[in-house]
Amino acid sequence: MPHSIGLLRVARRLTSDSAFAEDLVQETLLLAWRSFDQFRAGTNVRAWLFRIMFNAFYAQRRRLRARPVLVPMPQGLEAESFASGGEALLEAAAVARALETLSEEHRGVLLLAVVEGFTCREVAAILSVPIGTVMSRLNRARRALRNALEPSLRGEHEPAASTAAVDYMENQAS
Amino acid sequence: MTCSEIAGLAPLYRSGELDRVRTAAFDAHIEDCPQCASEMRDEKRLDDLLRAGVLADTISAAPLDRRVREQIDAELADPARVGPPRAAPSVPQRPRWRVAAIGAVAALLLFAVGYRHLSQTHSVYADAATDHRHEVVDAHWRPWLTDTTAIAALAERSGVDSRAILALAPPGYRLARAKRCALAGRPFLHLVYSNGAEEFSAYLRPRDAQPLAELAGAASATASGVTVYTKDFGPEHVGCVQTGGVTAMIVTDESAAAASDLTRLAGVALASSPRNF
Repeated sequence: MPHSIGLLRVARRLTSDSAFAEDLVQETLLLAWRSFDQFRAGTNVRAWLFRIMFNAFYAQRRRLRARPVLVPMPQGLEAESFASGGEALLEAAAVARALETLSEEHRGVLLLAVVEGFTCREVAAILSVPIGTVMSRLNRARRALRNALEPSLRGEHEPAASTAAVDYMENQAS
Repeated sequence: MTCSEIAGLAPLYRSGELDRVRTAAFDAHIEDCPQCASEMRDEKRLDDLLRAGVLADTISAAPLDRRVREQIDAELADPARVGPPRAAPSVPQRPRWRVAAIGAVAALLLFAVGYRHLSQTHSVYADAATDHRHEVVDAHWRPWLTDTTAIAALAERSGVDSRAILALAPPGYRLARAKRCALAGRPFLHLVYSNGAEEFSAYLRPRDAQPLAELAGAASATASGVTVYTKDFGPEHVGCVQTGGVTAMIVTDESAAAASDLTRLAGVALASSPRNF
């Protein structure tokens, strides 16, 4: 299936749980198959699949929120590798790891817009939010990612955790 | 444009969604403002690193794809058997018959098999050609039954005489494997016959009350009292015969003549099978 790898890639980074991610993508593909009559010919099937996946993800998250949630604290970023290695791959790995410290909302827009290459309009359709929300959320997400990386450049781990805490609180408040 | 406008519009600029006038104004500001230019460069570098880092993830979707295919096969074979993930918030319930009716089209699109056929008339023929290409020629992994007893049981469950499926093997061929599949939303028994070098597919189902509408567009020839319909789908050649109580389609990538011969032989074999379809 041409879209399952992209869906799985985003789901894994979104959920930080590979088993949950696989279940989510499986549910997405089956829902898409069962609701194929709702797909409008000529529109973007890839964006449609991501929209189904995010809907399913938020629905599951709402169910989970009804119960006590353990917030996973991020592991320390690989500061040493990042700071001393300097190779593009090590930097890329550190950036991808810093993504884990962001809120789900920020991770979601970055994965869709930056990694998967969706336009802001497409991201808005996928997430069912106005395009202006996507633009401001992307700006805040980029800032949060950069903030999460700065301590790793200095070899400090604590502020990255604080960023996650702030993101989490913001997430809860919204 | 001001620096704060630049920051606000940057996401649209990066995705190429700004109109020409605002893009020109954006470019002009970046050229004159070292701070915004530096900001844009930093963010582009961060984006590039993030993309490279996430795309470096090792991901195998094969087990997941297999589970989804199996679930879809199960639901097509038995629409009442709908698995655990039932309905998403935006997906209302719909009549079960429609689930089956849309099944093959959705499977085609989602599985990227037969894109070239979507632009043609979508038919049971096209699905059979696509299925043969995907499963037999390209050998994509699918659960197949190879044990003759298990295949016979599957045939009976599919409403097809198990003795007839052995009679379908032309001289030099043997029944190699079988499974159920869906073509244009209808369940078929997919059998693969092999002579060690060549393989062809046979798709069987109990004959519908109405003949296949797709037969109207195909070439037909009658020999030995059997009318054979043939149609080509790219490299696949599809033959169809309806005799007694069964609809059979033969798909081969060998030649149109081979499809016609194999289908005629299948028709004769089915017409004279013990249960006399």
